[in-house]
Amino acid sequence: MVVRYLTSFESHIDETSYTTSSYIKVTLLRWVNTAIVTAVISPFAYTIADGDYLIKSVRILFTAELAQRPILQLSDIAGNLKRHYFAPRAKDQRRMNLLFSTAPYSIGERYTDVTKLLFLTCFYATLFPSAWFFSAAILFVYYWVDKFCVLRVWKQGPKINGNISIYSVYFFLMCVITYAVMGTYYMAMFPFDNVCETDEVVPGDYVGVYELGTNGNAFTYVSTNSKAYKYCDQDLFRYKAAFPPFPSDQPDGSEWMSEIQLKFLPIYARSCIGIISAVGAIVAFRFFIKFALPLFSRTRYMSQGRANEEAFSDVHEIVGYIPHVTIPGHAFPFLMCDITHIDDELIGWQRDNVNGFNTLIDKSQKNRMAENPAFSQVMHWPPSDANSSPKVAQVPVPASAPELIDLAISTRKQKVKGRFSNLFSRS
Amino acid sequence: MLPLHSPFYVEDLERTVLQCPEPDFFSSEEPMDLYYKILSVDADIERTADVTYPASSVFITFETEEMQRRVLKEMTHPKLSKSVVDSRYKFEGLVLEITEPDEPSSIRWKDLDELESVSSPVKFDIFSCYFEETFSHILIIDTDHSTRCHLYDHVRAHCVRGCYHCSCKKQKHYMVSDFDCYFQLSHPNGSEIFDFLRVSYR
Repeated sequence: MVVRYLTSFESHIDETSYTTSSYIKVTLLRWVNTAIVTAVISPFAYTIADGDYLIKSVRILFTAELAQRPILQLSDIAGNLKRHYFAPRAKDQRRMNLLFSTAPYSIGERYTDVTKLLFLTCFYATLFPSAWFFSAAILFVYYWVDKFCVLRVWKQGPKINGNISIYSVYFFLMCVITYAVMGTYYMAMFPFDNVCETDEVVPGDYVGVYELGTNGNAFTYVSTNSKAYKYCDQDLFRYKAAFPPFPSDQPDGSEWMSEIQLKFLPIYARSCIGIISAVGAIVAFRFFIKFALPLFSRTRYMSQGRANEEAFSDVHEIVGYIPHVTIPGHAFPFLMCDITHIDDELIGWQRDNVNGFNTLIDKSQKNRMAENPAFSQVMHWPPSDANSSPKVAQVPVPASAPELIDLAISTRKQKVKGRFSNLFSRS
Repeated sequence: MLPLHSPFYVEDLERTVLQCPEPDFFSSEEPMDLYYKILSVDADIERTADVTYPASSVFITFETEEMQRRVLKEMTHPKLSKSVVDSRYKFEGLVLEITEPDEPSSIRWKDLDELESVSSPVKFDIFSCYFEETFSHILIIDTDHSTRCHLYDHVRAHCVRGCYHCSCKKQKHYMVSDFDCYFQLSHPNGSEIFDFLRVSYR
């Protein structure tokens, strides 16, 4: 909701841009809240300890992902309440129709869920390998739940283009980097106990049998030959800031890495550098193509595939660019243009056969609007008209439309509508 | 609500509203209040309708996809070499920015008049504020007091600027001529607005 509110202040020419902006913000927020904060607030020495610590938190996160969203999505509590409790008690047909309307399908939300899950998996997979299996199960569940909701619950949203999937590629690349970086650090910081073995043996005062834990069901024996251990800071991520971590980053005299770590950590570290470089090169190349190339190249427009030979006027399902605005409290949008001279099929929807279209233009003001077009203008020259040379639909949009519409919206939306159409119709 | 069986006048809003009984204490809004609001909105529409507005975007739908591709190919120019564009491709001496738009249902009609040079700083400020606000919580856990304060100041500075822009955007839509803010300063009379042409095949 916060993200939606913030994004509402931005100007986006189409829903693709708006959805992408929300998607980026929501994804960052979820990455931080789900994966990063969980790691940051967990004490280092308890990273892989048994009990209510990091590993258990991660397991709970995955379990919640597996159960929580499908249950909430399928049960659709708010939707059921609206349809079965509030709708029968609605005061009129319009309000009842609105209560039967559901939220539109949002591809951005779906991508956010997937990228969040992937990030969570890549972040903890080295410590918690079963994250991959959890992840596979969750994606399987998401697929079927989303499929059900797309076909049975959600209404169709605006038809956006594939831009959002391009941004998703960057998020996926960041997940790859996360996996490489976190894997390298986890390899370096294992066993996360801040304890280093020394060459000395324990002092005689410590020799004896000790109870382990609080329930007293485990014991350990410290003999005179037992090695002594000392505190050493193994957190290379936060306090040493070594990137990428190599065995040489261990403090002198406080080495904790085993032989396996000493052997594999350099490989991990170099691989991490390689992956980051490769991702950086891919991102730089994509940015060059998107931002730098159009500055001096004519190849800004690249057609894809063969041109469709079917003419616009032959396909009745496709519609024209008709300016409209959705006003909360109304099931159908309001037109922001005079549609007298265009074919109704260009609009693409109709409220009902009797009342036709909602329009913001007062009929008595039509002549005046024609003199000074404050609202948008729509022109249509159908190809059947032999006298008209250009077979185009043209929609100039004056800058005044937002001001006028917002003036209307600024007062109570439901009531304002009456001024323009049927306040007294008592339907 | 009108009394039962009483006549109402579709043509005369005021006479009809006057027939409505006085609402009780718990009613949300009186009919007369609504009536005055409608009058106020009408007055605003009258006022804004007297101003001349240039077009901000033009959508053209071609009869065939071939036509659309031809226009896009011929009229798409490098951004840095607009001065060498053939004059026959200019509109009143202006090189039009031509793009292929989204589907009609995806267009946000209320935002079309916003210049990119105006909307981009707003997006940047909102995003940077949001980004810093989101990630600063992680850093704050591990930082000392002075660093934390410095961080907060930094975030606040960005957010204040972002909020200022937000406020401007909101005000722009409500107070067209009086509000002197970033947006108004950026394009005071909209003279350079008509530089965008969206070409599609439908």
